[in-house]
Amino acid sequence: MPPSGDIFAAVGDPTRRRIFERLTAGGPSTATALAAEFEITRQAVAKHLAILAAAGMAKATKVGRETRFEADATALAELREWVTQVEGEWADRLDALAKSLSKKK
Amino acid sequence: MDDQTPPEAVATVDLEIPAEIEDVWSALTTDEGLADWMGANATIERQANGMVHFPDPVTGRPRSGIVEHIETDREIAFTWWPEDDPSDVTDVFITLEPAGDNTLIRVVETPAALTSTVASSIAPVSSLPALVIADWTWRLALLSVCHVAIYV
Repeated sequence: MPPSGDIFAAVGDPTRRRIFERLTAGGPSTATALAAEFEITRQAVAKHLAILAAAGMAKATKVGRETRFEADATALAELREWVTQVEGEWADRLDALAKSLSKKK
Repeated sequence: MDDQTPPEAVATVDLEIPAEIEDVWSALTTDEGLADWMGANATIERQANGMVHFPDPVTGRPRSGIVEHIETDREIAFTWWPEDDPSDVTDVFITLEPAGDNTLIRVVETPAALTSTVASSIAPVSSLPALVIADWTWRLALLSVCHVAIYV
């Protein structure tokens, strides 16, 4: 089974990847603080965070009037599994291809 | 790899095969050649927009697809999906390069929805003539840039 389209969409955008990496390395943050760090609008950051959250890559926690986001790497295991599985399938196919050609020599 | 770093949704496999490039190309793009490794009754229409059908014994899940780009002895790209789950659409790019008497084959597979996104996220912005990437030759060129950027 392939991972959901949500995670492909989440990791497919370079800004979202940077935001995720920032949350991982720098700890929880808010949309406002991230907007200042990345020099993009708060609305744009909020949209990226919503997509990360939908993919299971970020969790939102309400702290007073603020919403803090933290990285959640568990969903990434699914994506790594997909890459590993597809690479394994192609390794086996190419092995069969190489064997078929060696028999013809 | 750092466990916290999101992996690219790109699967890449390289193999050097002890055969001449014309023979590898024939194994990739003729029904007879494909039958030996993609399953008996594998078929391919060797042209852009041609249909492919691979029994795919490795997974046991027959796949159908459409050829998107083809350049003799050099590269073939197709979109494909398992026949039991047509929503699982991915793009496959296969390139061949001579390596002495051998042939280096590289396969890149990525979710179809991400092909242009993954490529454009890595390629230098200045090299993009337009945000809309429609031409498959261009997409292939970007993917090779993408590959180098990720795996070197």
